Amino acid sequence: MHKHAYGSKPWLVIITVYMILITALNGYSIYLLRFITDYGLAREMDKLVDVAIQMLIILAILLVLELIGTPLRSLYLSKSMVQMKQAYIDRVLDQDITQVQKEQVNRYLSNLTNDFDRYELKFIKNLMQLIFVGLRFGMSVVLLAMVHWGLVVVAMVLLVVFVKLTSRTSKPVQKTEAKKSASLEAYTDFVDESLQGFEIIKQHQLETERYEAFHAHAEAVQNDNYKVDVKTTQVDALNNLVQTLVMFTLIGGGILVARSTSLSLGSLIVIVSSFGNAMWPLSEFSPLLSQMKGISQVLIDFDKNLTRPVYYRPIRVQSFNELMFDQNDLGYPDEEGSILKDVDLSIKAGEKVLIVGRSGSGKSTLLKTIRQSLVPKKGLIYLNQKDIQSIDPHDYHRLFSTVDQIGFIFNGTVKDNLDLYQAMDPTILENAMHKVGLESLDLSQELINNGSNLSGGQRARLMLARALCLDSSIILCDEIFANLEYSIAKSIENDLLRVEKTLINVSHIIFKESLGRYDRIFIVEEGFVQESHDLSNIWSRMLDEN
Amino acid sequence: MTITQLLGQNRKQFFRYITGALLTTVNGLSQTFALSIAFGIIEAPESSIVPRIVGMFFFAVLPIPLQYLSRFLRIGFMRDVLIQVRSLAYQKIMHRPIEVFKKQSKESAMAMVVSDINLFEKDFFLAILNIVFSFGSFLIGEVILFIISPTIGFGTLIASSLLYIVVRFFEKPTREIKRLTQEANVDYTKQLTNVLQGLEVIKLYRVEMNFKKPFYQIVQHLENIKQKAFRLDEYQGNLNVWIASSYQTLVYIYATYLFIQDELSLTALILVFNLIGQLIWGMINGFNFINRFKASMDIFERITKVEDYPYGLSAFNFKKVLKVKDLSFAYEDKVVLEHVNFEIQPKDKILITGPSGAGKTTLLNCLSQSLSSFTGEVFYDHTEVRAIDPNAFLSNCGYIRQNHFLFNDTIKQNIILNQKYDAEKFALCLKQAALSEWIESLELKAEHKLEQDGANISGGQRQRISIARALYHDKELLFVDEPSASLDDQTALTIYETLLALDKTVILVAHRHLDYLNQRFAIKLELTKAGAHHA
Repeated sequence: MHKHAYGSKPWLVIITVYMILITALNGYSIYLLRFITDYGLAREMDKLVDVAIQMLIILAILLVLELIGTPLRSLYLSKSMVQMKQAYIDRVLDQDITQVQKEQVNRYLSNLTNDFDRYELKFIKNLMQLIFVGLRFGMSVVLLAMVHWGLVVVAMVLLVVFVKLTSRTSKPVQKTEAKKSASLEAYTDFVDESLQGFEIIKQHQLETERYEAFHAHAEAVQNDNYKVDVKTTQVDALNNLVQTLVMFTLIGGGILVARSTSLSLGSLIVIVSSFGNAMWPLSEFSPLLSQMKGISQVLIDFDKNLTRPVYYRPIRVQSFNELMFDQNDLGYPDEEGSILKDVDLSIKAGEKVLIVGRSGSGKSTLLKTIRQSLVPKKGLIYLNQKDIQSIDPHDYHRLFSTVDQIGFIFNGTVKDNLDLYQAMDPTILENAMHKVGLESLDLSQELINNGSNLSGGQRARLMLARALCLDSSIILCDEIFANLEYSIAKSIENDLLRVEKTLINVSHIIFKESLGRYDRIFIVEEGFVQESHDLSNIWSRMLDEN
Repeated sequence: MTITQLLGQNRKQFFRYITGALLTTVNGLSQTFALSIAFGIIEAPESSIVPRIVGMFFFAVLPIPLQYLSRFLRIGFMRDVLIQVRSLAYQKIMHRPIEVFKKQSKESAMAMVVSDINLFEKDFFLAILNIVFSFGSFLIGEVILFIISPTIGFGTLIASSLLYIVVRFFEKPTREIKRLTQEANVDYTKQLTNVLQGLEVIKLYRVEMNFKKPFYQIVQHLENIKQKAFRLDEYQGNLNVWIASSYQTLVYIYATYLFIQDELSLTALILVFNLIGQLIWGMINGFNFINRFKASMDIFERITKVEDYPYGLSAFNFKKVLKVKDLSFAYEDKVVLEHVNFEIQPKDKILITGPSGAGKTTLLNCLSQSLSSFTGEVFYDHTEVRAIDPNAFLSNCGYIRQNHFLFNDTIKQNIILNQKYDAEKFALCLKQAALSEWIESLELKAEHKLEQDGANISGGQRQRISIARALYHDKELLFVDEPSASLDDQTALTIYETLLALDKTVILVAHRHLDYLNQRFAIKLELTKAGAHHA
């Protein structure tokens, strides 16, 4: 994200040039003030009127320039924010599929809303202000130089001193800003959880407990904010004190010099207003810079959130021949021990495979490993004799279309959820909807909140239809029958078994009649995966021991 | 809650805040004063130079401790008010009945508790401070100007009025654009959540490019609206700046004229220059902030506006009968339930079946106060369900939904929630929900921590924890919506037997194991698309 830190650079140049123009005209009008004073003193009314008219013309031009300047600045602002947000989402979407983590979602959300808003306010807008202030300072320096070059040296020395001072004092602010970011994130997470679990919270009358916990989060956010304020106050006060002392020492000294030498009143006025103009930029420099430095930490965090280890996976795969587990132990990385041991199975192209097992037996672990969300704890897994971890992730995942029970229904129409914004032949969509028995659903119906306006069965069938629309070699089904009535589930299984693709169907719900149509059946039980050929045994084992 | 009530509650803090804000009014004037003392030195007699230098430094430095003090007086109030506003927003959302909550998108609720408050935070306090500062300074400055030159004092009043007219002119469009910005923010968050929540699906289907486009569009749309808002702000600002600087130039020419006429001293001249600048710029600032203040008040009202929902007040009694009379429900123009009639007694076990889309879950929702917009009536003894106090109802009824939400907490906490922990009862519930074996195999047993929404356990485990939760809470009447969806047959049977053995009323919706269930349940209700039949 760092290369975007200053937003849209071409526009930054444009607005800078424009601001230079405006500032120069402003400076010229102050320069003219000197003549007004001096002509006034000399009682040369003709010349005074001439200069006054010149000034009024400049004022009129300035009005026009300012009015044009506004859209330019707003364009810089919006171009910058669009560019940064797009760059961020690009990075999110370009991540390797094996690194997509659900728990990161809220962090991304917080980055793309809260943090970008703060960055816009505290960095991009402040940057424009900083340029403006800097130009005003420069203009004053030029005006001072017209009176005496020594004054310029003084002004420049001041600038250097103040900038140095600021960069040293902004450190503690940066730290507290980062802390505030963290507590805001926890706050956002908590709100999100409350909304996700709304029904459960209501059902069990947990409002009071949830409210108390929320209050604690809100307090943490505001307390951290308070700490930022305290730090900023201290830093600002210190910076201001030094600046004020230096400035007024200079002004006092200058005036004492002016008193003993002869200086025209006009020049004196220019000095006053120039010092005035140089002074307020100086007093703004430090808060601006400290805010900008404080917030720039956010970009570093963005990069941290988006950076994942890069794996070298050079092997390209075009088609599917065989998937093979070789004495693998499978499990979760942060848990000791493994859930499945010595897994040995191979699935060849075109085979219909059923993997059965009771709830919690480890079927999902097996699936997650195939999908590369989990890395085997022991041994390697091979696709076409190649270690799957060395295969280009896109090539690998292109082979599969996955249907699962969790899935996600996007906000949008039924059609959007089917074709996922890809151009697709309408008959393909209709066929898929027909196959899953959803013809009655209107393709243009709007879905919200992860499909909460569909029934559980419709939701599952819609996700299945989505998978059917996709062209892939292997269909991977994860408990797709769970929310379906028997008749629909059976007809879907029938369709799946007829499709000329490899099928890996993981399910705890099985139908006796169709068991024989699978090429292989694996049972996941007590930490092991075993192939079984005895259909009636499978049936009775899965059904019950009652 | 209104803003006056909020401030009233924090009277003491608010008083400190305003004191702090008032302190800042002296700041600008003090440094102006310091400058004019300094320039007076040119004309002053030798003897007054030292006291003038001392005076200059005094007035120059005075604002710094004042500013420091002012800030500390203010930030405490800011913190307290924001905590309250956040809490109000949260409570408002959580206060909504399930039915209302589900109709709105989660993102708009999220925006209210997160980004809207950030917007409020940004504008509200800054606005108060700047308004107090600007008008305070203006008042003091005007008095000084009138003493020095009534003409200039009067002219400044006129220029300020002109500025005020400009501000009023921009007021309406400013508020309008703020509202649009808010709406655009909601859309943006919606699209964002969409992309982020669906990240895995997007990656699996490799449709990154297809999702980038709508996302880009929504970002562009949001930034366009923000751009308009920014421009409006700037136009107003620029116009004011122009009026101010033109006026300043005029005063400059006039004051020089007065100085030449010996009607002004050099000190007074310098004071006038600086004061005019300060007052005029201060006023611009102040007026701008009036609009921002109003806009932030709009947000505040939106966040805190009380939503009233008609709640029943009657007690819950289910001693004799649950009677459903002619219940019908249509979603938009789609009929879901039509003329459902049945009656059950306490401790009855009833099985509700029917094809998907026949309204099984909808019926449960109507019976359980989760849905109120049905026609016909549902009586618990003599009270219609919608007249029953929701708290009383929830205290007596449990509901195992299909959405098995789990909190980011231990298994144990997810089951007992806010109830007291009773080891014996807990163990029993685990057994009844067929969880004991699995939990025993975990290193931390029931203290095993779940990720948000149970992302680290299987669907069946989630479902069983959700069942154990309902069992532990031990309600008289239990609504159960398809408890076996993610369970294998044997576990499902265990759960059914558990439910049948309960000494409670159980209303079960199921679509699997129907042969078995039809044998075991005495009362059955079969829903069809046409209506309900008692089997």
